[in-house]
Amino acid sequence: MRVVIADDAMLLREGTARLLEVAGLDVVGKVDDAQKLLRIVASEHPDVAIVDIRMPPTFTDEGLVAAESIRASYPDVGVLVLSQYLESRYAMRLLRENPERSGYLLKERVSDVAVLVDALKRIAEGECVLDPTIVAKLVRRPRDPDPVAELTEREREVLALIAEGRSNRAISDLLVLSPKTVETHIGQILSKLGLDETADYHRRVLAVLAYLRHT
Amino acid sequence: MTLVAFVPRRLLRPLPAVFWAAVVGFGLLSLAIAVQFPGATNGGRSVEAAAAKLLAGSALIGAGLYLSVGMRRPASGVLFGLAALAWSVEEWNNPGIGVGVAFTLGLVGHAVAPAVVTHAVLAYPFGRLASQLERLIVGVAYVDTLLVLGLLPALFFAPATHSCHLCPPNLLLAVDNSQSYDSLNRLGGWLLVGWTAAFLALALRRVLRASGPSRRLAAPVLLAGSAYILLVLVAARGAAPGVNGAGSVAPGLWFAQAAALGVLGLAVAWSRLLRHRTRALMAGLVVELGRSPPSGGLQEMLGRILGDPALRVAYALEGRQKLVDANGKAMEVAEGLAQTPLTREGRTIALLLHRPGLLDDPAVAEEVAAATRLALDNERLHAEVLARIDDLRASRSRIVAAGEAERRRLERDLHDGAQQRLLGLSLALGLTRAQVTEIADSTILTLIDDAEERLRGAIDELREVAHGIYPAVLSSDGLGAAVDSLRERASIPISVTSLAEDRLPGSVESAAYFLIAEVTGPIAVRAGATSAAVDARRVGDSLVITVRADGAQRADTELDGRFVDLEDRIGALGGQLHIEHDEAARLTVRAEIPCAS
Repeated sequence: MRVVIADDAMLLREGTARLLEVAGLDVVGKVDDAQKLLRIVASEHPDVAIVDIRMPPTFTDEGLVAAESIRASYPDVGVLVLSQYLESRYAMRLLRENPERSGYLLKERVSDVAVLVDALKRIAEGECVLDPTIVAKLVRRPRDPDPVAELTEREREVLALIAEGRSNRAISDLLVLSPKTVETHIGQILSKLGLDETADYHRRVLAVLAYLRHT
Repeated sequence: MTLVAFVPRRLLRPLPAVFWAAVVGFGLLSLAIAVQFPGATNGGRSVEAAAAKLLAGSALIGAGLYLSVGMRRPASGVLFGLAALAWSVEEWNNPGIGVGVAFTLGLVGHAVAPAVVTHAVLAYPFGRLASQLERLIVGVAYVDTLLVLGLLPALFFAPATHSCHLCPPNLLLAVDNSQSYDSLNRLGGWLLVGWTAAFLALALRRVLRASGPSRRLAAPVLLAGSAYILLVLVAARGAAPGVNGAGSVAPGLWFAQAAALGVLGLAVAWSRLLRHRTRALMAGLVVELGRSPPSGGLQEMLGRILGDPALRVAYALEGRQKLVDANGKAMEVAEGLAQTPLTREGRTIALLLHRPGLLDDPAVAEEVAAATRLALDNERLHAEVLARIDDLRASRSRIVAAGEAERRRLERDLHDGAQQRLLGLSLALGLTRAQVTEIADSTILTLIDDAEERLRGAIDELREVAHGIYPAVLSSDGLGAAVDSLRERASIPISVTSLAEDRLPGSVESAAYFLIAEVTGPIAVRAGATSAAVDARRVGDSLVITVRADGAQRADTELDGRFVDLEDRIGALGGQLHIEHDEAARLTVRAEIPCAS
C-alpha cells in the first residue's frame, strides 16, 4: 500500500513513516504543510494520505480542509486524519460529504502499528473509520431521556462498532457472533433508536453518528 | 479727556434725568430758533431742514438714552447725548437768537459737534478711549473746535464788522480784529483737516482689524461716524468762516451730515437688535431647560435655538487630549468649524463648535453660558463619568482579552509541547512493539501494553486539560461546535434548544462559550443540578444566552464567587448578566453580549 504523510512535527512525521515502513507499507511522500500535501497527492496518487489537522500557516484546521478537498477531488485516494483532538465535530466534517475511504484516528494510535495498518487497509478498501475513543465518548454521553441506555450491553457494543465504521462481517468476527445474530442485533438497535433500517453501509454509519452526537 | 470720566459716579446717579431733560430742552430750543429764523440755519429755508435737524438730533438722543438705560453704558450714552447737544448748539450762532449770552455760546460752540461725535464713536460702546492715539485725536479735536475755532476767534469777532447787523452782542469780544479772527479760523481749518483725517484712518483700521464679534457690533457705528466726519471735512474745505446763514455750509452737505448722524443713531440701535435677538433666544432656552433636562442633550437644543444643526458641545476633561461629547466619547473637531469657549469665572466649561459667524457677538456666548449654567455643569459631569466608565470598560476588556490570548497560547503550547512529546513516546512504544512482536515474549508485550495504557491515560488527561483551557474547535468551528464538544464531555445531560450557528466575533464566542461551560459544568455540579439546557440566539445586535440548570438544590458562597467571575467576563464586553435561582431548584443564567465589536 502506498501512503503519503503530512505533519508539521518532524518527529511524528518521520516516526510514523518508519513505523509504517517496518510494517511493510510504501511511504511515497512526507510533507509538512497542506499545500505540499495537495501537490504530492496530485503527483503520487497514493492509496491513502495520512493528515494532521493543525498545520502551517494558520495552525487551525488546514489539514482537515485539505483532507476534505482530497476526498472531493480524488475519489480513489483515501484520507486518514491523525489528530490530537478528540472532537467528533472534526470527524463529522471529514465523513459528512464523502464517508467512503475516510478515517479519523487519535494520534496516540501510532503506539499500535496493527491498529494503524488495519485502519489504513479498511480505508483503502472503501470503509470509513472512526476512533473507538470518540465513539465510546459519544455512546456514553449523558442524555435525558436516554434511549441508548435502554439498549442491552451487547447491543451497545454492536452500536459502537457500527459507529466506528465496522462492516457486519467485521462485527461478527470481532464479537464472535454469527452474521445472522449480528443482523438481528442491528435491526433491534436501529428500531429502538428510531433509525431507518438501511442497507447502505455508509448511510448507516452517518445516521448512527448523527444520532449519537445530537440526541 | 473724557469729560464724564472725571465726574464721580455718586454724583452721576441722579444726573441722568436732569441731563437728558437738558439735552431734549436744548434740542427743542435750537429747533425753535431754526424754525423762527430759517434763513440763518445751515440747512436753509425749508421744512425739510427742520425735519432733518430734528431727526438727526432725535436719533442721537435715542442712541444715547438706549446706551445709558438699555445697555447700562451711561458713559457711552452721555457722549451721544452730548453729541446731540453739540449738534443743537451749531444753530446758536444764528443771528436771530436775539440773546447775547446764547449767541456768544453759539459762537464758542458752533464747531464742537464733530469733536463730540468723534469722541462718542471712538469710545463706543464702553465710553472709554482705548489707546493713547485715540486720546490724542479726541484731545486735538476738542482743542481745535472749542478753542481755535470757538473761544479764540470769538474774542476777535465783532458782528458789525462782519456785516451782521441783526446779531446780538458778542459778550466775549475783546478786540475787533478781523485779521486775527480769519487767521484763527484758517489755523482751525487746517487742524480740522489733520485730526479728521487721522480719525478716518483710525476708524478704517479698526473696522478692518477688528475680530468678527466686535466688528459686527462696532463697524456700523464706526462707519456712520466716519461718513459724518468725512462730510465735515469736505464742508470745512469749501466753507467761509462766519455766522450761520451766510452760506457757511452748502445745504446739500449739511443734509448729508444730518443723514449720517441719523444713521449713526440707527447703528447703535442695530447692536440693540442683535442683543435683543439673543435675549429672546436665551429666554426660550431658559424656559426649555427649566421644563426638563434636554433629552437630546444640550447640543441638540442649542443647535435648534441658535439655528445651526451642526453645532456641537464639546467638553475638555482634565488629563485627556481629546475633547469629549456629552456621552463622554472622544470627538474629532471637524474642519471649518469655529470654536467659542463658554467660560465662567475665567474657566472654560465647554466649547461650542459651530459654523463660523454664528456666535460673533461675545455677548451671545456669555448669555449661552449663563442660561445653560446648570445644564452645562450637569452634562459635563455626566460626560466625565461616562468617559471614565468607558476607560474602565476598555481596560477591563483589555484584561479579559489578554486572559483569553493567554489561554489560547497555553493551549497551543500544550499541543505543540507536552502533548507532542507524549505522542513521541507513543511512537517509540509502537516501534518497540513492532520490533518485539517477532520475539513474541508475552511478558514484554504485557509490559508494553501496560505502558501504553498508562501513556494513553496521560495523553487523555492532558488533552482534557488543554480542551478546558481553550477548545481548538471553538476558534476553528465556532460556538455551536464547541458546545457540542462540551455536551460530549459533560457529566449531566445538556440539551440545546437553539444555538447560533453563524460565526460571531472571537471575543463574543469565547465569552459565551466559557459562560456555558462554567454554568453547565462546575456551577451545575456544585449546585447539584441533574440536567441543563442551553439556548443562544441572536437578538438584534446582541447574543442572548440562556443557560438553565435543573435540580440545582444548593447555593453557597463558592457559587456566588463564580457568578461574580461570570459577571466580570460578560461585563468586560459591555454585556449584562442576570441570575435567577427559583423555588423549583431552577438556576437560570441569562447573559446579553453585544456583538457589534
